Amino acid sequence: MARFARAVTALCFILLPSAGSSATESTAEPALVYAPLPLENPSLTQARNQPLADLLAQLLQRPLEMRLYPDHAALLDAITGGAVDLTELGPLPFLLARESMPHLQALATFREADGRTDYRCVLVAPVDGMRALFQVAGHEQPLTLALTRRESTCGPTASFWLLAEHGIIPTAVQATYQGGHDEVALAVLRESFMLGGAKETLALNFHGLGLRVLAASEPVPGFVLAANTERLGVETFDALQAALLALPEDQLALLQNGRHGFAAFERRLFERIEAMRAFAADWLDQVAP
Amino acid sequence: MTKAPAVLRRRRWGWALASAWLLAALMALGLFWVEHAKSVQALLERNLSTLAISWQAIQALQRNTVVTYFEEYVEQPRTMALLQAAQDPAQIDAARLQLFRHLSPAYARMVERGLRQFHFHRPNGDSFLRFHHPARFGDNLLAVRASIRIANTELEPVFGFEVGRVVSGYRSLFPIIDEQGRHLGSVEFSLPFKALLEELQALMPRHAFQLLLHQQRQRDILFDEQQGLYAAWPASAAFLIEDPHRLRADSPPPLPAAIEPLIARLGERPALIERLRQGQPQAFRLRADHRHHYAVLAIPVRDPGDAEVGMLVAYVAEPGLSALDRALLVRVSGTWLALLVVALVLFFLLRALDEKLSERHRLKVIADTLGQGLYLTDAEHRIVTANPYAQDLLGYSDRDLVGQSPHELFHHHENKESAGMAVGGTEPPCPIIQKLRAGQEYRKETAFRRADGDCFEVLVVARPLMQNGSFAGAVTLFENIHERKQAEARLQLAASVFEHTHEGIVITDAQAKIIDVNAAFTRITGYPREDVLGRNPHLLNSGRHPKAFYQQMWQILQTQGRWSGEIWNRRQNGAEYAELLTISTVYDAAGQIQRYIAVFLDISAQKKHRQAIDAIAQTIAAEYNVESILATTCKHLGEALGADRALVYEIDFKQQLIIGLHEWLNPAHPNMPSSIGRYPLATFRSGVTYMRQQRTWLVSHANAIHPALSADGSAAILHEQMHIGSLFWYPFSVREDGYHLLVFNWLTTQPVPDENQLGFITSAAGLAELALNKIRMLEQHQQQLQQIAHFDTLTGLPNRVLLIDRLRQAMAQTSRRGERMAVVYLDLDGFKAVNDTHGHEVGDRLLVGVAKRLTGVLREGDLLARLGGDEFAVVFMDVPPLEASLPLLQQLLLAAAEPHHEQGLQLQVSASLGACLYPQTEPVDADQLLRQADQAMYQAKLTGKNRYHLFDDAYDRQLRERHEGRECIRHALARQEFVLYYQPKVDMRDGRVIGAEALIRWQHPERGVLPPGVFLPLIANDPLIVALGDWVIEAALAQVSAWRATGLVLPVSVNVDALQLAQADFIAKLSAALARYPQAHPSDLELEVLETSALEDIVAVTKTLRAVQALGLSLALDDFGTGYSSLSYLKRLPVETIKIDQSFVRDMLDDPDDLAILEGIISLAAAFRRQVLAEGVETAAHSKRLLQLGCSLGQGYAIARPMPADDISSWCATRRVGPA
Repeated sequence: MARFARAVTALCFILLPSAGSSATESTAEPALVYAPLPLENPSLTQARNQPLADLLAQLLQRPLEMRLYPDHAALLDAITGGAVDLTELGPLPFLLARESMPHLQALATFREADGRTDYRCVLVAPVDGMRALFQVAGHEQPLTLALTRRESTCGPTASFWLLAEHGIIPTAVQATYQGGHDEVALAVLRESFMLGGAKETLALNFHGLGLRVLAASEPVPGFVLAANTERLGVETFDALQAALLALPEDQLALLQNGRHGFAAFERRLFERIEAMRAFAADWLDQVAP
Repeated sequence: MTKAPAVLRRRRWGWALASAWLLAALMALGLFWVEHAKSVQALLERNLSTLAISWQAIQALQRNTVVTYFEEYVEQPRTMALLQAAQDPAQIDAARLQLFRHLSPAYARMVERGLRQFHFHRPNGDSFLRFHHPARFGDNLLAVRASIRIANTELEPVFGFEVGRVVSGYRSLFPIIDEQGRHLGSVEFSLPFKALLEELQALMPRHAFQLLLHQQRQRDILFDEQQGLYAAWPASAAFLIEDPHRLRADSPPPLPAAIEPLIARLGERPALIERLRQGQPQAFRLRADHRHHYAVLAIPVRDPGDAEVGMLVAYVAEPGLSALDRALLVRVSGTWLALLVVALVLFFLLRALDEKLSERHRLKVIADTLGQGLYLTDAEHRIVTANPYAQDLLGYSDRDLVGQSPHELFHHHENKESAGMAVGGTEPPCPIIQKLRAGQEYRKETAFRRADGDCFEVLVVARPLMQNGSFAGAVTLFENIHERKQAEARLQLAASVFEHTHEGIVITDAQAKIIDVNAAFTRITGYPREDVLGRNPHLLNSGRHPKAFYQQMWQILQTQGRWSGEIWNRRQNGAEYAELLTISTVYDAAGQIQRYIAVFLDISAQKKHRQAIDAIAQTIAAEYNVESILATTCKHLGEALGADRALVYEIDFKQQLIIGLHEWLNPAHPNMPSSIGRYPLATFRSGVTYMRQQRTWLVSHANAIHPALSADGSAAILHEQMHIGSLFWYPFSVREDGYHLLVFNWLTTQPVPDENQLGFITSAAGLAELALNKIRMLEQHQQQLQQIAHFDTLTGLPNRVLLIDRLRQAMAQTSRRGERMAVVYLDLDGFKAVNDTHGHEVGDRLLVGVAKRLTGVLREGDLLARLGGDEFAVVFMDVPPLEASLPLLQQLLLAAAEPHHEQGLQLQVSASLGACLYPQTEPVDADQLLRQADQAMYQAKLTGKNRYHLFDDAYDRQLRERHEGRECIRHALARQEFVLYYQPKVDMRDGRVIGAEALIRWQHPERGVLPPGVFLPLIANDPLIVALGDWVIEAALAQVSAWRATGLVLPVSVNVDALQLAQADFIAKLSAALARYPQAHPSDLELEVLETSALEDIVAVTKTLRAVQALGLSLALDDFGTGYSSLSYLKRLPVETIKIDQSFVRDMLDDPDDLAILEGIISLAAAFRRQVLAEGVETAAHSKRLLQLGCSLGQGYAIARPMPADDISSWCATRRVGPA
């Protein structure tokens, strides 16, 4: 609590000169833009993220506009075009955005419901389907694979990596995007695909219906709250980061997205994603849209 | 200045008329309002009826649609076959998955047509498959979903709107019955409210609709993850609205913007919300703004169980409401004008009427408030009126009194009663009437009679009323003086009590000057009354109490008004005395102290006795010596009574003696001779017998001899020879065989002991008796304890404690004398059956009989003991060599087997004997000796009972070694001497490593690395195997994590013992271990379960294995082929891999039988879709043949030997992939 108070005081101190110099200037200052991760339903995205946007505005003491984008690709375009100041991104989209926008820096990592800051991607199959990956390892036989979406970490990036880890070269893999993790799980259960790639916690929900985990990745970093340091300023960035990491329980309880808390960003976990991405890059084009 | 009464009256009547006009105006308004409200309600009711009919109509429409779904998708062979399969618990999971696949396309089509939910339930109400939420199933819905309960119990289709765990919807449920009439469960089709809304909108296009769900009911049912889909209705949190943000595509569109202020206004009207909550059809009007009137219509939505789930609300702008309001305004204003004219006329007519009424009222108030009885009589002496007080005193109502003659009704003059009693006497004239007729006032005390006949004394004052000089009537006042008279009588009684009470009483004024004392005061203190009047009670001060004592007494008196306690005072003659004193303060009506009253009782004698009793009690409480107790009792009693001699005798009827126990002699008579001695009972027989029979005390004086003493001449001894003036005998602790006697002697004649003294003696004697009883009981108790501690209560034989003690003595004696002894442990065979069949009482008697017969076998110096239950031990002293001692054992067997006759039954048991000899080659103690005999007896039991067995030294050593081995393993585990070796498992087709089996090794500090075969048998079926198994899982997970950190992903399998698997906390410990190693994924660990272990309790093991799988671990069946290899068991066990026991693999190349078994197992595994892995692949030939048979996975020396964890990485790295 004391850390949070110190961080908020620091933020006020940093922001005060601009607010106090001139009332007209202060009101004329353009609103910052926060772009949340696009979900299928814009209303749901809005509802999930409004408390977080309010909190960010309160911490920054500046007007903050929440801007919704229809999909990951549009969001990435907006970020690289400099239209977004604060955003939530999965680990892979964060890496992609960083390449075009070096000023995009991670403020913090969103914690999962179990408090972790990482998660695993898994390859799943129906219980009466393929029993182990070594059954097909080393054999070039057609393998159908359900994937979430191109920008998703547990999509082609982690899935192709996992196949390769088990001796399966993705050459003969026929992969298709299904959208969400649940859709991947249900498509595999319906036997529309032999395998599917999804986030472990979501795939385990379908264990009872007959979904089986055949392979799990090393932990990959969690979702990231990132900011454009060029727009925000380094001091404000640092103070906001300190305030987010020290958020007290009563503040967290008001949030929906972010209610499990924030953890410090760990750069080293992204090395694994980069390795996965580098490997999967060669095979992305063979995935049917 | 006050206003004129006429003005006031006019004003008052003006107000009255204004009120009346207002009332009439309001009544008119009320009438018109009621009529208006009826019209409004009729209009609303018409709207409400339309809504209700439309709602019913669209539900019927939807039902027809859903019936076609049921017929098309559920009542078809494939669906029914899968639902039939789902009835088998072994197939339920597979059936669910197949049904999901089979009907997924159908569900997609139904969703396109507006369906929201498609849900199968099992016959017991469990959710079987939710197509709209396939990940959730298995929860029982009977309690939360009435429709499912009805469909599965009444087996009829059910329709209705209902809330659910995911979302609400219009439900259509159909029971599913197959062709054989079996009930397979039910299926539910649910339409969203949006689907119904669209139909409603078509029928009622002007209306806006909203579905309100009861908040508590909906929240209780929902899955947690669905709670966010619902929000409180803005007007009241008692209702929820579903999906206000329209997160779901099938949610209804938002309400028109004009309705939102209407809902906000509803929120300001709690009464309307309450009407909605009552769940009845409701219609009311509501104004959105000053121009628009809305009709709000609500009908309850009920589920198939007739429980209310919420309200369907419709909002519609209704112009007819404004028209009705205008009509009401016109009618009300016209009526009010007409009423105003009428009111003005009435005002002038009525205002004069109030004057007469006010005058009459004033007189009545005076009479009613008078504190005396009053009645008025006319010239004929008949009562005209009486006030309420008079009615109350006399017990008559006003109606009873009016017109009556008071003289006849309630006068009770003395001369009237006496005349009435005289025979034929005429009633004398009323003295009151006589006085009044004479024109005089009557004032006198007399009596009146109440209606109930009771008489009470009154003071009567009556005056005549003269009109124009003649008697026109009278006014009579009377006062009840009955209570005053009674108070005077009470005072007289109090004075009498004051004078005659036993307690002294002193009354002082507020300054503590004595006002009065009673006679008892003079008797106790010696002061005459006249000597103390006007003086302070301080004159009685003994000087014993400090000043502070009196200060505190006065302080308590001042604050609490009362003081009570014991105090020492001094009599006029200077003697001190103790008194029990109570002083009370008397206050006057103003609360000021008026006087003090002190009441006291002389308690000097009681105090002296109490001190003596306390001294006796204090002494004997801690005393366990009879002599001291009696000395204390005699001394204190003698002193307190002022006796010259006090004695205690014991009267012993058995010995016919009077025995002096103790004597106290008054030091004032140093030359007085002692009376202690032993006297024949005959000397004082008469007195002693008197007290024994009467159980009472005896007093005798030299001048008044007690008859019981004069009868046998003992009086002459006591009074004449011993010169005793008075004696007092008191018997206590009276028993059949005698009693104790307290004796007090006085050399001079004394008065008979009074009640106080007798009570004192009784108490002291009672205390002494208690103390004597206590000592006697303690002595008895110690004896009993001694018996219980060393002897068996049932048989009276020595118990185990005494046996061990005697055994030690016997061993010492045997060693000293260079002899030999035998210890025999005997346990009865079949005794439990006797106990169970005939009860414990018969069993106990049998044990006593056996003990008796066994005692018969003993020689002099031998010992028989009962160890408990049906176990005995015999110690034979000085026995010959073993063979020559056997006849003794044979005799014991015969004695134990002798028939026992009990209540007409013949009972027979036998015995199993174990024997050992002493001394032995190694030193032993008594406990070991008994244990050896016990162990031998156990062998005798095992080898058939009714026999003896001699202790085997070698077998005993083996047992000890096993125990020591277990301890070594326990220490090795604590010292971390165990390690895991890993043997790779490969795909023999290409040599790829698929995992490794963890195998335990013991790095023994002295014996080097030991294989499991050396030490695991020592802890078979021992809890230690569980601890070791836990360690193996922990170590394997640590190793997998370490490998992962270096980039090596190698699943490891560990062996799990049956005992470990059966632990209740096995799954919890496994989960905790996985949580401790987050780097390791559950799929990195495989558990190997022995086929024989798995089959021990197939149901429990299957449950545990399923839980293991739920954690994400793989399972393998180890050493397959060595157990039953049952097909049905294999089908039920949820394992992924079957490991063929190496015994079949090793000899497969030479032994056709083993080869055949191997082929069978591989086929079996294929049939059940299990992986198969061959253990013991020792040569390339084995590998090749196994591949030919279709087994591609293997493990064995041909591939790699078990190796330390550090070697595995390099082995994997250098391994050349290719066929093994």
